[in-house]
Amino acid sequence: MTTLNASVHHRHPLARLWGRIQWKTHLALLILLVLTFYPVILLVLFSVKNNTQFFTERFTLSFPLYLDNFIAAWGSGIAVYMGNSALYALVAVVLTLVAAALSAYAFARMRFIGKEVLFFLILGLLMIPGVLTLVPSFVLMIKFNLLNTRWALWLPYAAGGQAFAIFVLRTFFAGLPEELFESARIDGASELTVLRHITLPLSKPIMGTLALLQVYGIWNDLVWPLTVITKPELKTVMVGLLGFTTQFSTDYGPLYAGYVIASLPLLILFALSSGLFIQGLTSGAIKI
Amino acid sequence: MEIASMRPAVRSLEKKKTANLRLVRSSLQAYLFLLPTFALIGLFSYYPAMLALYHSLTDWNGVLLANYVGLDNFREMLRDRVLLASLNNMLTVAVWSLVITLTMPLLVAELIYSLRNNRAQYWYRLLFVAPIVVPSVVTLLVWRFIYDPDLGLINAVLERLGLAFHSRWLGDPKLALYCLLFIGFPFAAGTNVLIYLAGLQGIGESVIDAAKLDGAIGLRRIISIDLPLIMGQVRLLGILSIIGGIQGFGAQLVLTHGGPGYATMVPGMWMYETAFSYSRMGYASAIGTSMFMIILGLTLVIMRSMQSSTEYTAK
Repeated sequence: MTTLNASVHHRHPLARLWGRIQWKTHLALLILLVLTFYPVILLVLFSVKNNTQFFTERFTLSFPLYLDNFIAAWGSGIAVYMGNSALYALVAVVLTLVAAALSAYAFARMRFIGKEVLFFLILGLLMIPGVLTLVPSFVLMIKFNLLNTRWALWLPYAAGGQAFAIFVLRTFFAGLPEELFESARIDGASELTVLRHITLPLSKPIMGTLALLQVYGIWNDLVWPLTVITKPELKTVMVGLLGFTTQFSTDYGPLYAGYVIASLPLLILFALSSGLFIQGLTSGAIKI
Repeated sequence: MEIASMRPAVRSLEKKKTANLRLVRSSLQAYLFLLPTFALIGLFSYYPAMLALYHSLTDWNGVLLANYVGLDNFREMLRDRVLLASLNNMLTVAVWSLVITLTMPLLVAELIYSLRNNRAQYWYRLLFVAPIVVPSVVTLLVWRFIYDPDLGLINAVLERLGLAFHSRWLGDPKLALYCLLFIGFPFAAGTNVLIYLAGLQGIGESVIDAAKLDGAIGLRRIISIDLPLIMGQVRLLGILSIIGGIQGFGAQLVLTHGGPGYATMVPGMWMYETAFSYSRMGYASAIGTSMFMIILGLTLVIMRSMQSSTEYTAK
């Protein structure tokens, strides 16, 4: 330690402070951030322009701000799409996590016959690509009479979320201290009680993270809802945005205002839950 | 003598019996726990996958009964010029998505990890994950504007710089695929950063200090210390990025539909077209089945070649 510090001692105090700030690292990170956020900034800039401003001064902030664009965009039915997407995400996430938590608990904490085989069937899910099942799933929806119903999204999303959620939760449950489970079992608690009253309360961050990841995934999905939903009143927000693009094809302000509105729910969700989200993602359970 | 020696045997037999009974009972309970999951994946994952394998051997059009045609669909695939061209694109996309997933988010994670100031670390973490709130379709549509030949950002910047290079970008068959690959530049944000960071933070001070004493610093440390110790994360994200690269066609669906011509066509997009524009469900299923084989093979190879340093063994 002393040899390391020796060279630092001779330098001017300001130079030492400068050295401590790690300015090269900060500079690199800030440049990456600016590049990352630039499209978002463009999006917001465009959303408050009228067409004249858009054609003459696209890339700078111009006044007056046309906040009416947001009213125009809102009036075109985007609220219905957003409500739909929220409902799809909410129900699918609940279904996913209830089923996945039960299974993950069984794989991490219970002894049973055929464990390896059954776990391999879960592992195998990761190998089934969405493109393989897209066409037959669509046909299955026709067979079950689920086309143009909410179930056509809820059930496949819940099934699709199983593998990843079970993987992550199994790793997490298995990492919890064994003594907790032992003492509960000695007290005669059933497995379901142990899961509900000991395991789940300790798993809130990771469960919350999984829920958020799935909400983002469902909110973003385009191919599946485009395939199974054609009724306007059941459309998701992403499918709605595509239609929106043709509807406002030359009305750039409201068009981009619509894009901003479609992003707001996730932004609010992120603002409310970023602590939990980051805690869950950095817990180290997401790996194989 | 005999009785005395038999007793423990009987007792252990009985013990075994009750242990077996207990195992059966706990098995039944475990199966109840697994029931919702297996009902869901059986009906909505495995059954459709099986149907796809079956339909790949038929000329099914989605409505009429399917005729068994053997391997005809697969033979046709070998002659399908669009599909063959799309394979090339798929390879480019998959390799590219693997390369950026293994570099940029890891670089950002290492940069954040190397910061000594905890508050700064916290804010960078937050800012680098924040862009996930922008829906992917919105991102694609904004990039469509960036590439727009008349109004777009790139041509405007080039004009300002006095460069005569005036391209139609997404409309140019030579550039369109690269334009799609460039979407999302600098590829540094999102949850992957946090997943790598989690791995790095799990390495522990003592290992890093020991590495420092041995003179492993900078890139040397990243390659010989960090990477092996976060192999669990690298492997997961690597596999997911390759799978995503092989089967993804969201950008094509929103921006190019595989065009201009077939310049940006990928097998997933072509499968979607054959299924829903031409109603050739059998042929589409054959494409899906082939992609499944490719993904399965690649995943197994990767799992084999990148053994995790910290394997968890199920109890």
